[in-house]
Amino acid sequence: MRGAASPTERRRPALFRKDGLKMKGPQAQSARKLPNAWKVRSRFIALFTLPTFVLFAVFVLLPIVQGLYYSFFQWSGLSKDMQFIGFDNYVKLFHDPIAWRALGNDLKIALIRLAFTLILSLGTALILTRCRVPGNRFYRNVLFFPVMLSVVVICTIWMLLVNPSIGVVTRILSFFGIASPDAGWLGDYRTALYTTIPPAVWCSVGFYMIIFISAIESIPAELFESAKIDGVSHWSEMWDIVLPLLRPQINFCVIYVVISSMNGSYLFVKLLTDGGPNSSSQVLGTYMSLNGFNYHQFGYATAVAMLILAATLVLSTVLNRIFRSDAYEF
Amino acid sequence: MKKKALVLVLVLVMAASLLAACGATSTGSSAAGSSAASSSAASSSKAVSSSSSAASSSSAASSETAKITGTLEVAVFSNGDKMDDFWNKAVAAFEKKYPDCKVTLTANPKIEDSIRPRFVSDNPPDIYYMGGNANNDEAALTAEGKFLKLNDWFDTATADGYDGLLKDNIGVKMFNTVNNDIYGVSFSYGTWGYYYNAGMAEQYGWTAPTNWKEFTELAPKIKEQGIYPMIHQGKYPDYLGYGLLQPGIATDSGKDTLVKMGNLDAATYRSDAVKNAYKKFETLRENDWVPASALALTHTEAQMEWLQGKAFIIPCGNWLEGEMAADTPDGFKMAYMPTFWYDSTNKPVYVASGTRISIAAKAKNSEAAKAFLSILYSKDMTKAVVEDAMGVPVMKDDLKGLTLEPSSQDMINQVNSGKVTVINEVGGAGNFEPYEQQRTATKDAIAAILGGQKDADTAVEDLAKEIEKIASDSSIQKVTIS
Repeated sequence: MRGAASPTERRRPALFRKDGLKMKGPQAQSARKLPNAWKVRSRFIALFTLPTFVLFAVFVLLPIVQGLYYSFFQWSGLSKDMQFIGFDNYVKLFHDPIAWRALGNDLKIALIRLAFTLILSLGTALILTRCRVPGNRFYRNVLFFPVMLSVVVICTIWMLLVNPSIGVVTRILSFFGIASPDAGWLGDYRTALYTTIPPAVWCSVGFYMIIFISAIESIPAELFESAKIDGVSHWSEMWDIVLPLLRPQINFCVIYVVISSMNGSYLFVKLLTDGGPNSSSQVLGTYMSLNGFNYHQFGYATAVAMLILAATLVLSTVLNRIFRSDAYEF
Repeated sequence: MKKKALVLVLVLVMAASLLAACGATSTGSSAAGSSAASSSAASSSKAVSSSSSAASSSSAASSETAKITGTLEVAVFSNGDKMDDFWNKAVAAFEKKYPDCKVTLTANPKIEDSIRPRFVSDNPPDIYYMGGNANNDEAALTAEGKFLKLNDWFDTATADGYDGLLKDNIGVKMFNTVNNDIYGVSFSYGTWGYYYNAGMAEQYGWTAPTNWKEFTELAPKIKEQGIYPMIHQGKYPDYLGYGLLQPGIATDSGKDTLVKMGNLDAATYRSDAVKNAYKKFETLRENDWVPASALALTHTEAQMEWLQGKAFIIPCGNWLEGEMAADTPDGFKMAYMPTFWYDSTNKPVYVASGTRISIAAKAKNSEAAKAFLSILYSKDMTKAVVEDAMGVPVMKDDLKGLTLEPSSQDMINQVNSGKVTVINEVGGAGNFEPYEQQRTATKDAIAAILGGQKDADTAVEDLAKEIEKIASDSSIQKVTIS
């Protein structure tokens, strides 16, 4: 139940329990008799979290605060002269059709990428753990390999794969009549945006697959044995045993894919289409970069950055609520 | 215990390397800061005034040499060995003439990444050569007053190996000029036009088109052979814009039209001259004279396809031979021509453009910087421009004994024959388009027409509306080009 101490927590000495100070009775008295233990524990926690927090504050919080500050100014980014203009950048952003198109593109990428990443990573994890696949370890390594590649390498490979003249992907699909052999998807305003999604999925599936594999392998074998004895089918096993127990990892995957997509789609779009043709594949990241480094309007660019932050927070909060789950302990 | 200690050491090493990277400073900034010449400090404060003394002429060579001391920091774009050679020659020539002044040279293809923040913190290099993507910052840096006015230097400078003043020996002025104030100069220039496959022309008896009518008559004959009349660097519609469209508009209606467009006159964008120019993209698409998939190609991909004989024509600036030297098949013949994107009987136009070099307004050694600029126009460096493929030298020079790149020679021959007119670009970076937003809007319009997303009339009307938006946007600093 939510809020109740887990079996592990109940076995812990009162001095070190999370709910130690709220306890009543003799155990609480003994806990309160040695407040130094809590201080020791607090210091211990602080010592190990402080460096991370400092790095987080310097490289994440501070830039966000600075960005918010700059968004109220008109600033070319090439001099110290900044002119305070209040909310003008946000008013301009509200009336900017390209910004809204970019936001829509970001949401499309995030949701499509989430669907494919979740299905592929979960599917491969299930196959590699619940089915007897020869060369299991080999496939795990091969599927994880793209995670280690640089995005530039991945995008370069993808551009060759979908090249209108020599692309293998276009040739195979044209063999099955799905596409014309000289299709230039990255240059077609109807397909450019969606063509940036496959490499983004490909380079992240392995990462989530490993997380799911680890979670599946930590499920006690007794549960599967009991299910087998009860005559549960593979599908039922997956739907009724494995997936519910993977809810926390699925939740993590959903949030992380969305966050990394909202922030990371910039790289794929920049390298593959540069927001074109005719801004059809523009995303907020590339639009922010265009305004900052090309148009020299850093104030407006940081306003776009704030929009990215707000959209990411809203989307991840909504998805967190949808995929919210209880933790199970064995 | 040992394991814990090892883990702790690894964590500390990683953290230390992270912090060390944050603390790195650019090379040369401390060297530039140690320049001690008081005369340079005095002259740098004078330099921004338009009434600096012309009396400090360069006639007294020994006194001039004596003035040039301390250190000079030069930051340049350079994308390879040949460019590096050019800059090393310039530095060597400068240090030979001014032995009391040492040069710190920083050259790399992403120079803007390290130099941009230095302009923000008012600690710029003395000299900045804005090639590559650094070009994008030129107009904004000029508007922010980051560059020194060079009018007084240009009025009195001389160039070794040439008689008289520099200004009398310059053939093509490629300056960054705002209201007649010079903020950047160029020692070489290039042009935009198109290349054609000369071997294919010989094989099939084709003549490279010199106007739009000739192109429309030739294109079906090319298609009959299963070859595309034209391919383009689709991801970068600038190639079509600068190589064909812009000089085509100038050919039909004169440089003034380009100037008005550069000054954000939406009515000019809506004029028949401009609409007719954009309609030609529609003709290309409707007749399948360019591959629809070209919009997906980068510049090197499109150029490779052209070298493989997939198309007859490709728009480009006159650097294609150099850029694709390693990929050009043996025996491949290419030739360079001005735009055919026009309907009148006027002489076709080349728009000449040049990468500019500027002196920082807060340069620590502006006297030495001016002397360095003069070195770049010397006879030896004119020779180096040709030898190191930096473009066509701007100086009036017969270039005896020197061999230009074939396309540059084609261009010079065409100009000398009187069949072609050259107009110089204005507006800083961007060939008559001083605003990056304007360039983006032009590229988007071209891509929209070629991709079938819009017809020409709609694309031009949307472009004109975008121009009006830029013109009325008070956050964009406006310049007037002429």
